[in-house]
Formats: sequence, C-alpha cells, structure tokens
Amino acid sequence: MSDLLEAIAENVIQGRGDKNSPFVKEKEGEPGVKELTHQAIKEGISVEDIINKGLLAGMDVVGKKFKNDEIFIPEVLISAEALGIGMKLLKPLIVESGLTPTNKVVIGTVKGDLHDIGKNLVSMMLQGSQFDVLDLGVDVSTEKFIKTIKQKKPQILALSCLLTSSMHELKTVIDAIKKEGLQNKIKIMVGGAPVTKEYANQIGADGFAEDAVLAVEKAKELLK
Amino acid sequence: MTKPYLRLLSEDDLKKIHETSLRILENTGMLIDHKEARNMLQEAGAKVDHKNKIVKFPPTLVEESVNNMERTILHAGREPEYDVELKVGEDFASRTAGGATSYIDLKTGNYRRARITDLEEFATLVDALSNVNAIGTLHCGDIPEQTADIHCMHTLLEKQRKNIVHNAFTIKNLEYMIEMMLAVRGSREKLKQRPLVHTIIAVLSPLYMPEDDIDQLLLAGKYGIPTGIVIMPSVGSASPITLAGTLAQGNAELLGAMTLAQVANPGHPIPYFYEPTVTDMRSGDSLMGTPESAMLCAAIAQLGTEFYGFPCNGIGFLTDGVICEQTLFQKACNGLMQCLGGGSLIIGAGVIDSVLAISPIQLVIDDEILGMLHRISRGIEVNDDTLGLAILDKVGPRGSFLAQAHTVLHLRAGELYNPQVFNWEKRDKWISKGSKGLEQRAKEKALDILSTHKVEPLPDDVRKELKSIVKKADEELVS
Repeated sequence: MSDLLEAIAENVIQGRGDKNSPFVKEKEGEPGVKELTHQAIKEGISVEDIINKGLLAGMDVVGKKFKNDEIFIPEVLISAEALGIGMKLLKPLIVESGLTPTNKVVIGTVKGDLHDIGKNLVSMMLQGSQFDVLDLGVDVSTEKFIKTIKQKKPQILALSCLLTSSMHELKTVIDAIKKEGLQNKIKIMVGGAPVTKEYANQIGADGFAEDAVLAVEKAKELLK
Repeated sequence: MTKPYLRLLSEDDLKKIHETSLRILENTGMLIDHKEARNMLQEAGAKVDHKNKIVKFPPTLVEESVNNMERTILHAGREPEYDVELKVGEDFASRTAGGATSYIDLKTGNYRRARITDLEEFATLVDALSNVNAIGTLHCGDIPEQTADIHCMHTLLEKQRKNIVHNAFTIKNLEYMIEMMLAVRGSREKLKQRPLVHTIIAVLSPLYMPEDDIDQLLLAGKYGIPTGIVIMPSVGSASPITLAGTLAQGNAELLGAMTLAQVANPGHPIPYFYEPTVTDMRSGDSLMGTPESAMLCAAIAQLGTEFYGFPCNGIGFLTDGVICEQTLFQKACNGLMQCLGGGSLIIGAGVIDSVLAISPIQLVIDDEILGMLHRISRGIEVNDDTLGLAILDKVGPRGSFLAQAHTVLHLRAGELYNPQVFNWEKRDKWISKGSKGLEQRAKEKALDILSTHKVEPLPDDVRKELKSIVKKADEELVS
C-alpha cells in the first residue's frame, strides 16, 4: 500500500498527471497520478491516506523544492495540475466521507486592473493545497468583494493588483471591509508586482507574500 | 541554429589586412633568433639573412603552411569529461589567464603576494565551476623562483582536472614539465592524443621571436602539444596606433610563427590568437579592457574564423580594473564582443588588474557572466516548435503559458538563463534573504565549493613520480 502512495507522491512531484505525460522521458507510458489514484481507490485505500500520504505528500516536497530554488513556477504548476487530476477522481468519495475542504478563499484582481497571471497562480496553488477557492476574476469592484464576503463567509480574502495606478484600490477594499465591521471575521492578503511588505502593513492587510508558493504558506499561517 | 555573429569588418577589410600581413612578412620579415629555425625556413623557401637573423617569408610559403594547419584544437582534461574541442561555429570555451603574481585573499579581501596554497584554492574552484574550461598559472612567492612554473604545474595536475595552459620559464623547465605530463598520461602516444596541457610561447612585438621561445615551440610541436603564441602588440608603442595597423601586424606575427611551426612539425595544433593591448598614453602601461580592446577582440575573432577558418582565442575577460564595478563592465562588454565575433576561447576568468592579480570572487562572478554569454551565443532557435503556433492556439486569448508542457520542456532544455550569483529577486525578497551584494554572494558560493568540492586524487604511483620529478628539477635548477 505504501509503495502505491509513494508512487502517487513521486508522480505529483514529477508533474506526471497521467501515463502520457511528457515530463519524464524514460517513464512515458507508465502510470501517472490518474492511473495510480484509480488503482489506490480500487485497492480500497482510504481517501484520507490517498490525499495526505500520496497527493499532498508529493505537493509538500514540490513546495520545499521551490523554496530551495531547485525548481521553477511552471514545474510547481504541472505538479499542482497532476494533484488536481487525482483530487478530481477522489471528489465523489470526498463528498461521501464528508472531507470537503473547510478553508474558503475569495480571490480577485482589484478594480481598474485587468491582470491575472499572478492571481491565477495563487489561485491554482491554493487549490492545490486544499483551499476552496472562489475566483472573482479581474476588475472586481469593492461592492462585489463586500457582497461576496457577506454571502460566502470565506476565511481569507486575497487581493491582487499589478498596476501601480490601481494599488490604492487595495486600500479602498480594506477600508470598506473595516467600515462594514467585517475585519475580525476575515484575514486579508494582498500581493502583486508593485506591492511590498511595508505597503501591505501600511494599508492594514493581514498578510503579504512575494510569490505564489509563499502565498500558500502565508494563508496557512493566517488560519492558525 | 544561426549564431548571432557580429561583423565589424567587411570582406574587403579582411582581405586587405591579410595582404598587408603578407607584405610585412615578405618585405620587413621577422627577427628569428634561432639558427635551426632559420635553416628550416630557408629550406622551405624563405629568404634568410643569417647575420641579422632576419627571415623574409614568401606569401606562398605562408599561405600553404597556414592552409595545411589543424582547424580543430583539443584542450583535453585529466578525464575525457573535461575535454573541450575548439572549432569554428561551435559554442566557445573559457579559461583563466596565467602569470598573475598577486591573489585577493578570499576571506580577508586583501590584495597580497600569491602563495602556492592560493593556487590550490583557485584550482579547486576552477575544477568545480562548469563555465571555466581550462586553467592558467599563478606566480607564487613561497616556492623556489627558478622552478616556480614546475611547482605550479605540479599543483595544477594534482588539484584539478581541466586542461592546463602553461608557459615554461625556459626550455629546460619545459622538458621537466613534459616529463610530468607523460607521468600522468602514461605514454607519448596518449599525450599526443589527449594533450592535457597547452603551452604558451611569446613573439615580442614588433616582429621578434626569441631563441628560448622557439626552442619551446619546437619541443611542444614534437610532442603534438597545442601551443598558444602570445603576441601582445601594444597599440601605439609596439604596433601602429591605428587599430587596422595593429591587426595587420599581429596577424603577420602570428602567421609567421605558424609558418615556422608547420615547417618544423607539420600538424602542430596552434589556435588563431593574438592579444593586442592598448598603450596608456599617460603612463605607458598596457591596457586590456578599453573600448579599442573590445573591438580588437571582435575583429580578431572575425578575421580568424571567417577568413582563416581557425578557432580563435581572445582576451575578452581581461580588465584593467581592481574594483568589481569596473571589472564587471569591462569583462561583460569585451567578453560579449569576443563571443559575438565568433571567438572560441575567452581568456581571463578570475583575473583582474591587467593580469597582475587573481581573485576567487571574480572567478565565481565570471563563471556567471560566461553562463549568460553561452546563452547569448546559442542564439534564437527558429522552428515550428519554437515558433509556438500550436501552443498559442491552445492557450488562446487571456490564457497563460506558465503551466503548459511546452513551457516546462523548453525551460528544462535551457531556453531561459537561470542566475547563480546575480540577484533577480525584487527588493523585499532580496532584503528577506539578507540584502547580500554580488561580491558577498560570490564569496559564499566560493566558500561553499571549497568546503564541499572534492577532486579525485591521481593514482599513488603517479603522485610519487610527479614528486620525484619536481625534486629532480629543484636539485638541478635551483641555485
């Protein structure tokens, strides 16, 4: 059993979503995350073990490698994608066993800004780490953020901006949250090319991270 | 793939330089201070004035000799994995430069007289750094003066595995050094197949070949050991102040030396190489990192590769500076010019202060600059896959390429350069990692290499033999 889970972890690390994955030449045709997860389900391994000792164990190594400058963002993303393939297969079983993720994140790029590469990265990475992510897209108005927080009650709001000209919108959203008296019910993370740690503190955000992998760490830290 | 060549000279310019060089050799001739060499050249058709030791080369002799020469130069390492083959159109290699007398202490940063332990340290770093392919000597102050070259060779043979470039003080010293090479390689035949050293001899500009250097050229030729001819016409003092005149003179000096080498030992591998310096008209010093040096690096590479078809050496990594701000600029600028000119061997990694000093920190930084130059030298590959039509169609408007297999596979194949000691992170992250400057990062990398990198020792019997050769040399040559 543990061999199979280790193989799932290894294939997550290699970004091998299925047997046709091109990332490890000498393994082409061999089972990837999809086939191995199927097999694990068939063998009756518990959903929790497949997730924690297989998929997430692999992703954990990926995060560490990225932090040590051993791999690059695209490699983290193909691993996250491979993990996603495994999770999709497990979804019916997760619902059955009541293991649905409880950490909800609402994410979006602020008003006046149409950039989303960084935001999408963070979104993907959070999903890969078992966060339930609601992505509001780009050019999101303050009103929409407030409305969604009230309706969906997420633990975290993640705000993104790339343009210096839209940076002030981060503060506008945070001020609105305070005005609505929501600031104790939610942690606010900000990020994007022009944002610094100093600026994040200054506008009253709870968290800031330099990149998508650190953003996941920060999100976990904020929920402790 | 199309290499990004830079062409400073027109076809007509190249021809004119070549023809001027032939005129210099035919009419002015060279002072060849070596009777046997003059005789050989006379027999081959040169006009010789033995009284004044002047040899005048007929153009046909020069052109025939040069045409018959090797166009591939092998700089072999101790093991084949360290071999570099220099060839026109292939990616370039790089080496350190020999002859410095000072060393920048890695721990204290002090500029001081070099010691043999410094050379050991430097050799370990060169062994570990992948973009530096051959190593030169360091003139150390704590070993016997008359045999310092032999002691250095000993250290380089034992402490690192890449090709060694070495100039012997005298022909006698070279004989001992060849004995050492034979001890490592095992036989004369094996040494010839994979020469683990390339020697250096000098032509003194203008137009003078000293006796001992010729002895060394002929001896190296007998063993098939590649020889670099060091020709350093100093623009404005040892050659015309005009760059075209310096190019023609240096080229003539090289063609003359090549002709002698081919007449004496046909097939003797000699790279296309001369290294003009620029006379500092305030002090008379020789400068190596000026804009004229940069152009000469590119022009010599062009002349050697395009006109003669030789792999070209050049001094793109020499610099006159002692502080990082200046050395970095000169090396990046001149190295790039040489690289784009099509040069095959960039000389000067780790060397600063007009080759007076070696800096281990500079070596680590140079390894990084070389990495970037290699990326540039590979150029832009254009084919259906790299044009990316299919992947763009898949990703579509507003999509992202980051998580695509096309991205991952090309990233792993080296499409993007990944820095080792340069910082490409934004300020916050840079501060969070300790706000380290380039020199600090390079120093840490050097210290890390020195504490972890191991060089496999030579077999015990070889080490014993090397030791006894050095001892014999000391007994005979040290007064």
